[in-house]
Amino acid sequence: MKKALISLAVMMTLATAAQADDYPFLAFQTADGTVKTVSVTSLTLTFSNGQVVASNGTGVYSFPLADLSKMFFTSEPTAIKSPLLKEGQEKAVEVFSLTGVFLGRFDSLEAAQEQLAEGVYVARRIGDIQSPQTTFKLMSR
Amino acid sequence: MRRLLIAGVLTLMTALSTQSQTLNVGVGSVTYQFPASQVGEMTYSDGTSLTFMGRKFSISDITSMYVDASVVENNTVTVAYDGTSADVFVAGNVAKYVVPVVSGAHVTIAQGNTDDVDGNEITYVLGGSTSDGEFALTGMYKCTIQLDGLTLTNPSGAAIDIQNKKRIQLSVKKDTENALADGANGSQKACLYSKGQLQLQGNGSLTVNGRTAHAVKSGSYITVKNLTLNIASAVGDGLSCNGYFQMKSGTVTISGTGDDGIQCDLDGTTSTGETTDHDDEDSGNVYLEGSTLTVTAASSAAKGIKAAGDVVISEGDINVTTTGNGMYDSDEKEAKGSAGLKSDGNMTITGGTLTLKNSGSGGKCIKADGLLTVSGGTVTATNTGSTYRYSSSYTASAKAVKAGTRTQTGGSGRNATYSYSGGINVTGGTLVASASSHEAIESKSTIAISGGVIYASSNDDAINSASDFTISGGYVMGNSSGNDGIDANGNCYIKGGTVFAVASREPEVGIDANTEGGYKLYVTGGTIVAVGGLERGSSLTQKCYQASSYSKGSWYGLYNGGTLALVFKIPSNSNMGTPLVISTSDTPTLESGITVSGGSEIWNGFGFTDSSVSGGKSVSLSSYTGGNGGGGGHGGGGWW
Repeated sequence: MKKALISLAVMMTLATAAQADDYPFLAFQTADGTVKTVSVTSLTLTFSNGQVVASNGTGVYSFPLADLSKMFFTSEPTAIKSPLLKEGQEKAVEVFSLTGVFLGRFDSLEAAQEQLAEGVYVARRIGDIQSPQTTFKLMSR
Repeated sequence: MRRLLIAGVLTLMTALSTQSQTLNVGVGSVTYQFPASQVGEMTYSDGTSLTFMGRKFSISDITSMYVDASVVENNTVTVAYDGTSADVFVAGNVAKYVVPVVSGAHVTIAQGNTDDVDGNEITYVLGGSTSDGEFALTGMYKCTIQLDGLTLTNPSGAAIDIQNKKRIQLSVKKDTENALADGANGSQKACLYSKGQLQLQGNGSLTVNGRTAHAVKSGSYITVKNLTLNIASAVGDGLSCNGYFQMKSGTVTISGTGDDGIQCDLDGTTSTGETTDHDDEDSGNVYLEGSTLTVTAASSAAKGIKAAGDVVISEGDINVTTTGNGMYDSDEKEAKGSAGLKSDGNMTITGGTLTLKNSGSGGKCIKADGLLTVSGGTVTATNTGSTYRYSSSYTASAKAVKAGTRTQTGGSGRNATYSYSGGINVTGGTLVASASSHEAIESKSTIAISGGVIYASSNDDAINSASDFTISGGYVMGNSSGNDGIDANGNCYIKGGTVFAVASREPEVGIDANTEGGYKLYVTGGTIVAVGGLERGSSLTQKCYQASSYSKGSWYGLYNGGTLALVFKIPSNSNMGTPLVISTSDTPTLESGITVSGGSEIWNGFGFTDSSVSGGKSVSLSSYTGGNGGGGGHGGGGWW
């Protein structure tokens, strides 16, 4: 059994190392700091009419070239780097703690900000059909 | 514990299911591959350009971009030829150092300064097949080119053209077969050309056809290691280089050349000589240090291996055959013949097995303008060629081994004076030389033999020196069927060793010196057998004797004071000279018709060492005071 454990430990160490190189998302960041990530699975990028168009198995996303500042690979589908959403975006949201714990569903962004304790959270629009995985940073003051 | 193991296995499976990601950026036939783990931030500029790892792309040039799980090997540029096209893949970490241009299957890459690359150089991996393509590289920094199953023909230029003055490693991947060919009537210097140092290596095989000039040419040195290299044809040389040529190991076969098999020239005008580790060496030297080298050169006056400097052979199985006839060099106003090994400088053989054959008129198996030194190895030089005659004034003689230089310094005709340089020095090894029409071994300077085994046979002098000839050790046999066995145009000194000289009838002698020129044969030691006697006027400090008769084809045992000193067989040449003269340090006795057993054969079967003898009968001997030849009388006594 001792040998099995040692082997397992070695394998897990190697696996961890391999996992460290995994970047399943490509992030697009605009000049104003907005970041949007898309899955790299079957991802192709094309340039057309001043847009970079990212296509994968789950959707097609367009970004104006003039607005883009950079791209980078990331291991998490995060938009934490995005600024506060503008007021008036009235869609129901789900809110999570920074550690990923689900905190609740709110009718609107404003409702969440009113009810949550002061802090930084991760939110996701429930009704966003085009980008259901897109998350953003939510600050409650 | 079981739960722990299961959890671990699940973790492992999850981890292994993850893959590395690579962003591929296509620009026409070139794909730049940026690993997600390395690429970092990719920056846009004004919506018109995008920069990856220091390499800026105009967005309008990008023809494709996608993410896949390609595994990217750092420092590598891969070129995949396929018929009329070629695809180039550039590892992201070197993307900013290379600018590939692809037109059909013609690939040209400009390489920048790679000093900051980890490992300091780029490897270009070439594979696939095309009958109309090329690989050309420009730049100023060293790199490696790896051939991985490449068949590349360029009908309009060099197949591989490296315009890069730095060190290039051309590595042939293990167990792969590769072929290069260029086009005829082009302007390229070679099918495989490198402006800089060219290191040919790898455990695969490479065949090269040079249809305009050389097959392989380097503007600097060439080294060969491990590689199986087959030069199938060349309009010029098989391998041509400047600086030096070094064969460390591998198998090189050269044939079908229009000029020399291997030619090494000086890069500059002044030789550095051999340097430590060959650093910055510009010597024109050729070093053969191992493995198998086979050269067949059939063109007029072509050389198998030609060095502007020295030839140094320490190991290997070397076979050189030259068949081209002589030719007149109108530039140098000289009749020239072919040569298996040719050095403008010295030639040193310390080991290896050399088999050298020449059949062309005026050719040589070995020709060293400097000093030929043999201290080891086995050299067999066979020349069946005849004299090349351009005119009565311009001729070239066919000899097996020729070394040294004689330069006239004054006078003319018989009163001419000369200076001598180089020559032949044998201290060990085995040298077997035969020539049909001229000297088997000739030095245009001195000959000194202190060891080794030498057998020379010819219709002319078997061994001849233009200056002094000294034997102090070794086993030396000169077997001439039409002239002297051993001939010195200066003094001849027999101080030691074992000497067996066979000459034809008078005026030839077994051992000759230039008495007419005021020189002399000095016998002060050694074990000597001379069929045809010794030069008249010799100084015989060690007593000599002559046999009353001898029989062709019979075995003899020569005893030195009762100890068997030599077992030899008299050749069966026609017109053999007389008498049979012997000399040993102590009083000799001679037995004929002996039976030989055991021991080691020497002199092409005309002698044995360390053998046992039985039978035979004593041969009557009488004192011999010399000498023969050159109009001198015989020493007296009966023979035949």
